[in-house]
Amino acid sequence: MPFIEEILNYGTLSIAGLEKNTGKTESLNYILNRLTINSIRVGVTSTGVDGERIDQVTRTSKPEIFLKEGVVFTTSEKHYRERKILSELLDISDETTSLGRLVTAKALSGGKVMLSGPVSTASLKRWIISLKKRYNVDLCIIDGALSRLSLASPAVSEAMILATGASLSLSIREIVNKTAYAAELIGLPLSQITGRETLLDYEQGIWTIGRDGEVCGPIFESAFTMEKRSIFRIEDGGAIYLTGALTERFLKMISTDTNLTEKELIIKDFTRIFVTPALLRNYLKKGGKITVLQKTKLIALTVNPISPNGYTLDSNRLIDELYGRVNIPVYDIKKNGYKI
Amino acid sequence: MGTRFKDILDSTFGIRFIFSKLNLSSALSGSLIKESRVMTDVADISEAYRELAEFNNFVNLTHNNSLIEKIKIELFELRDIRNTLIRISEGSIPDDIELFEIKSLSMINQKVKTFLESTEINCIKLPDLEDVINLLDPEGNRITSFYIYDAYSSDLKEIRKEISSGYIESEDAIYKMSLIEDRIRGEIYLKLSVRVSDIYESLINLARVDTLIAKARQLKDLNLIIPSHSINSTSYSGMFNPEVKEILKSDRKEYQLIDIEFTVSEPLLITGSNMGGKSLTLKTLALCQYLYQFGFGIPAREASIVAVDKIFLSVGDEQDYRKGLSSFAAEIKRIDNMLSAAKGGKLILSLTDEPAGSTNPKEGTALATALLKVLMKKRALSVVTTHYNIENIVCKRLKVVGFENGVMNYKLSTAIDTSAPGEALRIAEAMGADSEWISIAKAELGVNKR
Repeated sequence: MPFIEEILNYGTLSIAGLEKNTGKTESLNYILNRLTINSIRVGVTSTGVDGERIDQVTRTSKPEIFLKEGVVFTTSEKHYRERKILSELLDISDETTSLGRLVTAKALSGGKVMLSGPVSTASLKRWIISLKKRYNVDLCIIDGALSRLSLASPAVSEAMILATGASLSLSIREIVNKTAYAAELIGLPLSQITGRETLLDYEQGIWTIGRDGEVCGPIFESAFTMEKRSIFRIEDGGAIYLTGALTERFLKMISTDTNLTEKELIIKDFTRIFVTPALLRNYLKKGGKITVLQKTKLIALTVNPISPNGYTLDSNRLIDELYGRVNIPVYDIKKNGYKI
Repeated sequence: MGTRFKDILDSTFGIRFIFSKLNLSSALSGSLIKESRVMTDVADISEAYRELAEFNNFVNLTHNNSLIEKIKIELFELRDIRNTLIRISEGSIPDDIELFEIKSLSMINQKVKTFLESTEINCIKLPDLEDVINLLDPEGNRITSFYIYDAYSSDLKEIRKEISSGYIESEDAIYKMSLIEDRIRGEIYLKLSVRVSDIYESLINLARVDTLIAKARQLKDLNLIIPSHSINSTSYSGMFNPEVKEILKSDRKEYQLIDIEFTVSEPLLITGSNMGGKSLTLKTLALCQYLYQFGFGIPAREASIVAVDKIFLSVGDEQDYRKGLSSFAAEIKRIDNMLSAAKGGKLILSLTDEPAGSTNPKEGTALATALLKVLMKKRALSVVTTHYNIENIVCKRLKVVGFENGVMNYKLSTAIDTSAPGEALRIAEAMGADSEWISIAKAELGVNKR
């Protein structure tokens, strides 16, 4: 039984897809089905707002999540009303999404439900805390989105499973490259700066951090408004902190200045990086150091070799090549006959 | 219909500050305050302050602190379910989410009811909703959670057993189960519908408890008082603007308290130098009047206030460019509205900052003098500030004490002479304005005098 045992070592797990139709929901169903619900209490939600049964873009079917008895789940009012499961309503939160308020309930029998939960990172964190505190949930599972449209970052979870596959590209090499890059970003080291938690609360701007952790700035309101050749100095041992996105423009600017390249560059989490693999690797090779305030551990990859338009890739080759590159367990959950 | 609280929330006199400093537990309380309308009947206002005084006595006793925290924790869970209750009263059958809302409200009600019964508070009586809880908690768990429990009917229990054991075709069984659940919801609805008005009352009264605790605590936090009521004259001693006071405090500066009194029989004319705080005084008077008529604490050491039908504040910095009016035209319209209300037999509070102050001094003086004369004839509370020399009129006059030893004294004192203060040049000089400009202006003044 792949990676299920490993999951039990963590309190929060997110399942993120690199693209739509990468089989994220299948992976989630697979995990939920295999967890020994009797011994641990599981809570689940989704950060996607797109909870439709049929994928609106590609018209392929989007499965509902099957929950076993005892699982605590959070979804929107709309999807709660449409549930096909006997469940006990535990709480209605003040937070609203486009599909209504968030509703938390406990499954009283096995059944299906569509999930649509918190839409921001802060609200996702609140969800985790509230489930752990109020309902003694041992493992919170987040059905996450990695697209830049999603404001809720799956990086708040301790562990992550990444779903990839033929919907990224029809070329295996291309899939492997893209997936390996994502794995590389997820693997960026955790910053050792003092006061990590307080830094997370900063919402805007680019800041400098002194040797002893004192925060100065913001030196720019955002990477978009900074001057092309702005000058700023940071003492030895200091760092630069970006609250928003790491853009190509910013990375190019600091990579030409050896004085700055030596400094630690801190971002909130790996989802904030919007630079090409070549540029990032070039920067790291030059000796640049990029760290994150929130780090998640990638414990497995799942692949879906079927593209939305029906083309099927060689699953074994895809798995082998991915494993060869990222050195993390890779599974094709459907192909290997793991029943869902 | 009178002004709603939300209509004035963003006015220049800063009532939002007071609202934002109100520590409410439930968002519902905030919505109800915003929707509330200004009270004009002194009986309503004094009733509101009687309630506030009762809560003030309650929150001021330190041994009540833990009880208040317990109440606030309960109220924190209070949700605005007015729409649910309206839907039920209009005949629609509630779903699980709505039944959950009613159950959790009823449980909050019972807890807060028990808490309040142990206190001296009499002004709010919560209904007894024990039977509603019993209806929605047939298994007697007393936990805020809800579903159509097995205990509602034996056939429901049977069919659920069959479904979970997997013996029968599930689709058919699930359909049957949903029919039974619908039947039970219908039965619950019938029993609930006769209790909806009590549940609604509970909701509103819980929000009132929340609001009154917050208002009472604000009295202490912001140094506010409960005013007394008057029919002829409004007077404040030690009046201050809470927001400005806080800004000054953060700059380690002291706020100078203002004493002011005016009556319905004659307007009050305030003269004084620029930067003397005249506009701020008018805005603070508007703020206090609204706070009074919405039943909040008043920022003063003592206050006795006349309830009015309508409040008019005309301060020059409100250019209505959206309507395409110049500052002068906008001002004329505001004053005109005020006068027509005064002539319509309403008791108004009119606060006018430098009427016609942006036009030439000759016509401006005429307009300002005439305004005072018209107001004089009406039974109205009015305060007017001016720079102009308004000589041939007898009314109460106050003067900003003004510059003393290079420091501005914002206090008001009774003015004896009728001439306008000539401090503009001194102030400009003290501000370090261009010396050539000021000295030529002084010379010009000398020429004119001759």
